[in-house]
Amino acid sequence: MGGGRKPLLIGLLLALTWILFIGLELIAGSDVIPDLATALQGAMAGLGMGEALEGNLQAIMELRLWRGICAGLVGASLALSGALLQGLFRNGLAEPGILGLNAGATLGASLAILVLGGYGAQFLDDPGLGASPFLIAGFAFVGSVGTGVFIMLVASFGGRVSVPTLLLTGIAVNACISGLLAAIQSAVLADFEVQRALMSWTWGTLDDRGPTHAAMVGSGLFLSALVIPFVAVELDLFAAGEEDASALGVPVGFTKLLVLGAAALSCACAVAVAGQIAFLGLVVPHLIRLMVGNSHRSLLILSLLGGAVFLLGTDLIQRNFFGSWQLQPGVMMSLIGGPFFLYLLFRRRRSLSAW
Amino acid sequence: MVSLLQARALNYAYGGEIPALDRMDLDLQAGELLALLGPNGSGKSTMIKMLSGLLRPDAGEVLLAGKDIRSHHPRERARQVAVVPQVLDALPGQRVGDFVMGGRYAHMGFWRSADGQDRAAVASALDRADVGDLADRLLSELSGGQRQRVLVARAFAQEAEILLCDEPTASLDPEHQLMVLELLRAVVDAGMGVVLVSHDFNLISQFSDRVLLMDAGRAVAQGSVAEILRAEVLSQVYGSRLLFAEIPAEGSAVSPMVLPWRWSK
Repeated sequence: MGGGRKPLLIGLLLALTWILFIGLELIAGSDVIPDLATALQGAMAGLGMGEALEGNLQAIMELRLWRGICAGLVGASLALSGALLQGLFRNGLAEPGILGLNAGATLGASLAILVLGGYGAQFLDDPGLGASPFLIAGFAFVGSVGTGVFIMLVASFGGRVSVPTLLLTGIAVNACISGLLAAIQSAVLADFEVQRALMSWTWGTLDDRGPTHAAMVGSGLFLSALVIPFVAVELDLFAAGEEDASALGVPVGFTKLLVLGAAALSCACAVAVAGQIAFLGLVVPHLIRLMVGNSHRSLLILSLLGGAVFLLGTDLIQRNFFGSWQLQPGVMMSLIGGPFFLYLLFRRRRSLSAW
Repeated sequence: MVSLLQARALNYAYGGEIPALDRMDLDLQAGELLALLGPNGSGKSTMIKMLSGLLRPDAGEVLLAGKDIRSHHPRERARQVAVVPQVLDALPGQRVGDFVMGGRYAHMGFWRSADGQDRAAVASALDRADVGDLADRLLSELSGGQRQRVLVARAFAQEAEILLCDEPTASLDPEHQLMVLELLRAVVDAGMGVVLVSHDFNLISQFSDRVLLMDAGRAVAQGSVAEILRAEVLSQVYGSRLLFAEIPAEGSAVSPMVLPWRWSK
């Protein structure tokens, strides 16, 4: 419902920008700046097509390629997750963090880092050495999904999920996990390397990502995006309350399950791959809503595309202007997204009052 | 007479504790406008939620097409039963046309896209409820009365044969009260069944075929307008602060009129 040509146009523009930004990821950088042809050759070779570049350059191109691909997919997943949850909760303040997904993933990853800590920190930092990045990603995924399922179980009664209870449960569980994380961090305060690994994960990272990471976040995003046609109109109808939606024929319980499942899956995969990237799931759906209104068919698809562009753009800014500073994506997101969002709120206070 | 919807011995208590319905029966026929009358808290709105399958009774059953209403798929149920709610939980940030299109949800196919038939049904429903000129306005820009007519339009767009209306005229001016009731009367005369919850004795008196009087979750009395809108019946439930009169209707018939009356102390 709703519609017109404007959403289609914006979607096309975002998709093109997504591709353009991945190209820029290949070329831009603090030390090595290849020409376009070299960058493309390196990227194709990284994807298993064509001849590899010489020596070091190929490795650099591949790192940048997977960084770009992962950044796009992670941004898309987080924004889609946020848009789904805002629609379900009929609350513009809902975001993936409310399901405990971020905190759960961080807890899982921290435990994995603790387990690996005994092997020495180099093992953690070097992607060439064994399975540690995947072990951390795997632990993060289990922690994320486990926390989400736990919160949903606590918040449901007789097979129905109560949204207010869910929000409150999320706050409580988030508080518990924050405490656990602080306990873990203070317990390893003396071990500088482990401490460093924990911290970097907490701030989110796109360094040293590879095809396995891309496959993980990509499949989560793919499966979650599949539900869009079957929940978009339903979420529009949720806007007047669950009871009203039910009277119009919406299978409310089933729809909630689809939405929560998709939001949890995409967010969990993203957080498992890139760590905590706050704010994106909250701010991108808002930006899109300001542009195209409340129709979820446009809102969900454009949030997905917009999330990819937003995180890639942030990453490009970071790599080009703050390269030596090594600001992690989560930090960048807060530094850029926060003030930007405030500015928007300030400008659009009136039109946002409907939410 | 074709029975469209039957409620059998419904019991319900909110949270399992606060009793709302006590052995309620109801039978809605095709081509009938059945008025549900009763004081605040007598269980009328709960009854509407039962009849639309939104609440599960603690005991008893609601039968739609001979089958428990809650065993129908929600979409299938919504093609047969439409609800005009008293209030919405929240006001969607939608335009009137899109909101009324929501009434077509149960008719939409696998991809949930509106076809020509859906758009025609919405246009016709908007016109009949006299809100055709508001189609591009935001719901939040409408007056209370306009919103209420938009809710009626959405229920019409649903093209169900049963219409459950929870105080559809509560915030309408006199002209639009009559207009909405005339609309309901017209669909009833075309064969639909309508359950109307209202506190307005005089609209009920003019438009309904049958009146079911409720109090404390029970059916106190049931019958024609002339049988129910009488001092002996209503005073059991409403006390004595009512004024009764008779207005000449067509031919030699009279129509009862009931007004809240202060009676001097």
